[in-house]
Amino acid sequence: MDTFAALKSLSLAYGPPGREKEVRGLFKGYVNGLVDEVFEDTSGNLIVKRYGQHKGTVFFSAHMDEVCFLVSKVLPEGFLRLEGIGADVKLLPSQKVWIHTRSGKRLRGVIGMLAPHLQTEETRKKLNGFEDLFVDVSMSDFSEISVGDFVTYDNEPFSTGDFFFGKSLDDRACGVIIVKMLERLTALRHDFDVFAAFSSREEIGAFGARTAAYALQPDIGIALDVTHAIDTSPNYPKNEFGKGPVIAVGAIPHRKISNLLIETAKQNGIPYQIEPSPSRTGTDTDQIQLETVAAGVVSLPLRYMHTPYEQICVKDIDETARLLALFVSALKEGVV
Amino acid sequence: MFLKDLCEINGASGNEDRVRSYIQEQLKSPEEPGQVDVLGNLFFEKKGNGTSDKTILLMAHTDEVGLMVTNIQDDGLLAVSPIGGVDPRVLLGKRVWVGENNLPGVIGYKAIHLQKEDFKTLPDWDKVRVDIGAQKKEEAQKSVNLGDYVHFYSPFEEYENRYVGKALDDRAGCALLMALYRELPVLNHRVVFAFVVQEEIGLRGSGSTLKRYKPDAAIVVEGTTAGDNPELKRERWSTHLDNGPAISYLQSGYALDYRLFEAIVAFANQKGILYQLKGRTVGGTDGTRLASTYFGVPCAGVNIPSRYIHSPVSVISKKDFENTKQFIADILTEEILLKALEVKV
Repeated sequence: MDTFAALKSLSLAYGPPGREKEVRGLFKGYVNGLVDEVFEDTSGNLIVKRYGQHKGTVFFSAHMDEVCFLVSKVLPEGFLRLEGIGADVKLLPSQKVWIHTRSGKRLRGVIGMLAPHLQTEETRKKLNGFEDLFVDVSMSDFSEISVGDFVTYDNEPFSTGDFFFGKSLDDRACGVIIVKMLERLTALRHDFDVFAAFSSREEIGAFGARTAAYALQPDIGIALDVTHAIDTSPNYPKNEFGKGPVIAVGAIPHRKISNLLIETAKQNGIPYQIEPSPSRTGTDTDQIQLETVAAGVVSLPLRYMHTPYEQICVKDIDETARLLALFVSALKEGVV
Repeated sequence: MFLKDLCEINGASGNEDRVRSYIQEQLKSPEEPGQVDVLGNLFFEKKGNGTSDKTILLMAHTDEVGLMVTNIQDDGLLAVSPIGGVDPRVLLGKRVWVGENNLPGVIGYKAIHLQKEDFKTLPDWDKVRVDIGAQKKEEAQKSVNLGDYVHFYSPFEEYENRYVGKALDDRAGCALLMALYRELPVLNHRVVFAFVVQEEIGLRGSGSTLKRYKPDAAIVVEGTTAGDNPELKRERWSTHLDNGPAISYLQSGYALDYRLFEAIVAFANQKGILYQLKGRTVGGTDGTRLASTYFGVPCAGVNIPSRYIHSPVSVISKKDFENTKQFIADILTEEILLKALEVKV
């Protein structure tokens, strides 16, 4: 798989929570030939299975959905009001968006901003909320737009050097890690059967991963998600780009799993970083663990999360896939 | 298409070379190669048929608002300052072009999850940073220099009724002048088409036009503020899209020549042309400079209403563009300005 090409297609794909069909289609294509079974469950997860020697089961999940907005009102003259899930309103002025109508059309819109000439002292100081922002859709026939239509960022992903910028890399870039891990597993012996879910609806509560874990009942379950890169908070380590996967240690990640991941990294000279996770991890793992599964979290450093241009380092994708493939191949019966 | 090409060329104030070259390439002929002055203004002259010694000047500015790299931080991020009027609120999460080689970059912003009190604070210039993927100052310095220009990344789009893109202020005016230069027949008087630099940082380019051509009257064509946003009451709008050319009567620093203004309005009424008067007096144009330089040239403003100018995405009406172009062509052909000036002040 061409990582850059896949990241670009995935970043551009439409897939708010519960509307992940386009993303599912892409992943279905990428796993072709790498797995023994592919199916879609009723929650909208894409589940794949690659069999080993049936000595145990290990499960990975990476979510397909993205942060998004919803049309809350259609005003005359082609203006819309919005509500949002998970995005920072401060970043919306002058942002281009796609409006996805229920009839299946994709229309363009522009979140307008009053020109500086017309600002007053008061409006210059105002922090815009959803009550102020509007989408100009006067450039399209907006008669089919209705309340409840989904709205997503319209922008163009790009790469520069080892870095890739675009929307929805949270968490589709981790889906790419799963595919690249499966590619590597074709050349490795593994006792454990490998299950993976490209999961749905994480951004509103990780429903997809929960139902997938319930259905598959794996021994080990590892969520692959993104974590904040270059967070300047003095209370946490700074996750850096190009320094490898971030392994979570803490309450929810099972100690044996975290340790085994760290051991595997050390033995194979894979750089890694540690993320302390005192309580909930905010990833699919919080749900996977509840199915009585030895859980883990491996994260990809990402900067500017939930914004139109999230940033990742492509080297980190490769290193994480390598770590996970070697981890899987090291799993022996009765490990947990 | 002139407008698409013009909007996609980067040219903030002081960096208009590429815009100027494009216009000159498109318009030049063996008879009129175009003239460039020392400031970077470009002029095309359409000679009259000899029956009149008068000159009418049409003017649009080639520059756009943008940013400049003012510091390269130790962490590889670039600090920027505005060139012209830019509201930092329109920059967050946007893609930009950095420097002469159009290096891609992003104005990133701290993830919502990591914000605390700053969630409720207004983003200012101290928070606007361009990320080009460099992790250290030395790395960034390999491809970026202090003083490099930063331009909005914004592919132009054409719709049935709208054009969407950056820099419609004032590439819409430039495209309109280019079309008129191509389409206008030879008139009795001379027409000078001026594409001038550095409007956005204080109307700095336009004055030199007067020394060179001594025009009798001028029309400045701007992509002018619309402000017909839902948050503004109708009476506070500046102009409204689809309502036709916007004629200005008073703007920052200049009450447009009343003889020209009245004549243009009377002409529009007589011909039954859909037009609007610009409802707000904010914003200056090169008309202010023309009227206050040397002998002071009587000046009119006929503009294309534009939404969200000075941001990465502005919007104009296709109909307004065409109607404004036709209206100005008719004003020139029927010598409305010259007739108006025969009346003594």
